[in-house]
Amino acid sequence: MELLEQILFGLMIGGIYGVIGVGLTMIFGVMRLSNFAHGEFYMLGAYFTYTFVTLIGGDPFILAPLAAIAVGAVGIAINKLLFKSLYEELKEAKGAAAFYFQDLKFIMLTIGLSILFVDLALVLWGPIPISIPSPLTKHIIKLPGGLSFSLARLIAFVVAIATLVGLYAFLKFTKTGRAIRATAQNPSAAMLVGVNIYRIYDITMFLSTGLAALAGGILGPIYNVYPTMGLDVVAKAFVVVITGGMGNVIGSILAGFLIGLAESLGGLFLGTEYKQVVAFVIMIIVLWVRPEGILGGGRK
Amino acid sequence: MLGITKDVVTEISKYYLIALILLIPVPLAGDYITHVTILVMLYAVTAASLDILVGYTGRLSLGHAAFFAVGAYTSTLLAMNWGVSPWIGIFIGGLMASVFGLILGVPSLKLRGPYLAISSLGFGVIVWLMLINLDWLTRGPLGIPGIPPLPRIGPIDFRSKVAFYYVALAFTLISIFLLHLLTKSRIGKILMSIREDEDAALSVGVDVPLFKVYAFLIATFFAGISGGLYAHYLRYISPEISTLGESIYILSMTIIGGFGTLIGPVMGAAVLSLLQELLRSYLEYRYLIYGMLIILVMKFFPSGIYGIVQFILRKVRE
Repeated sequence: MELLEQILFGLMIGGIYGVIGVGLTMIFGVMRLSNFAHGEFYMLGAYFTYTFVTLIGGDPFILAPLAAIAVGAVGIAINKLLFKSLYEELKEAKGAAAFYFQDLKFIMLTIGLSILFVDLALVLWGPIPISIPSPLTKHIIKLPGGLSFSLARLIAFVVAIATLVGLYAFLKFTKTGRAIRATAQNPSAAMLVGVNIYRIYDITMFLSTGLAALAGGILGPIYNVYPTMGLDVVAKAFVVVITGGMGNVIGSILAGFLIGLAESLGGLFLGTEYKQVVAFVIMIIVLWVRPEGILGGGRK
Repeated sequence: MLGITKDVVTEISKYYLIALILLIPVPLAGDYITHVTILVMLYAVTAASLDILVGYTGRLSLGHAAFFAVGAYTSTLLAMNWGVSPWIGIFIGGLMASVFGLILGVPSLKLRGPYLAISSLGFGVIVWLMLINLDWLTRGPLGIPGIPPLPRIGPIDFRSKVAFYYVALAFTLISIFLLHLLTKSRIGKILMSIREDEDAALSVGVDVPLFKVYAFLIATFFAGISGGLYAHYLRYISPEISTLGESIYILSMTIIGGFGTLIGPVMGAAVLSLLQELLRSYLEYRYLIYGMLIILVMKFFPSGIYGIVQFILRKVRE
């Protein structure tokens, strides 16, 4: 019975990993940007939701999308202020060393952002972990066979799945979605057919940071919210992205479920202290055996 | 075989003589300054060793603190469980760090750019989790207190900060001198050719994988020795020295200082450590300023503090 429960929890947390990982993989695929501050947008999403709940009142599951939009706006602002000039330099870049130098700059800039945001959260909201109040956490759903979980978890899972399906449809069927995919494949060719790639970069940044924030907002009522919560998540988000193939959206979604499930079962069989190792071991195996990710298509 | 002429050795030696003369009187400034300078020197060697990977070979590593920690724990455990003299233990710690360097370096040979960054990050996290969870060996999150100091030589007791200072000074100057020679040697030039264009280096017959492994062995060895010295100086270690935050701290010294210059990371270690000390009274806003500094330097002076110093020198000369 415990096995079934762990599988269920693994799938639920896997959906959330998917939402976080998809955002990270998108900006890598489109802008070649490895965002080490991705976890901080997740953290900001949780704190924005908390602030909206205390200011406006209402259920966090309704206010989380609002928080996601606000964080997405922050993402666009950062993109315009910090990264835009780098994309222009990247277009001129020639040779492996120039690309390496750009990667380094992106990574250091986002590390700087991450340090800054963590301290900002510490100053604004304090170091003590808080939990976003929601009546839904008290509704316990009982399934036949002794399985039980809170309604909040179920809703978080449903929201995660709906978001992933919605994102997939957006990328697949809308004009903007096609433009995003075209820019990921070949930015100069996309420009030639009239795509404004800097606008696409803004939209991608908005989606990426917004998705991370949404994940933070819907997990806020279930887990604790604290300034360094993003740091605990970012490494795992990268594991999901690498396992799925960097830049591969579907790969990331599948990898999210895979890692969530593997962690849950790993915790059951190996003990909770080695639960965290499982994800990294999977990543190392994937990097060794199949560096382009489980579905392929990732860039080496 | 290394392609280092005597001229090169005499030319760079003079910088180290100047540095030695300038640094000898530091303990006169009191215990606090001596203590901070010792830590700066240990970090300087670690950041400079990382520069061999990040700056010279073009291999971005986000797990360097793990090797520092492996060196520290190896030497500590050898001294405490088997009575191995720390003078030998520190060296073994360096070799052990190199073994861990192989464990990361060999499987990640094919990985480039952000892929290597993330796999080294994962490797660092695994080492950290091992140090926390193997508590029969490492005492877990509690850490190990009461580490023996460096054994005395004749009348010199290395529990005193002043005596230890000169050990650290000798270690720092020798290590950076050796790394400097390495960058001037044939190996150094091959490493740089890998950074500039791996495929071109392969096509002219460079054994790229072998030299990548060399870079890992060298960089991790010096990080391990710094770790050992750190353990026998502070005489307390905990898994905290191997966290991702520590790795990022070391990497930011290398990059903010000016990577690919060797002296830049040394400056980075000095500036960032001093900043930490100066901002101590603004505890809450410390990381706000620190993060802002990283962003500003990367945005406006991507060649780092070394680049800024050169820029100022050029202006002064004009």
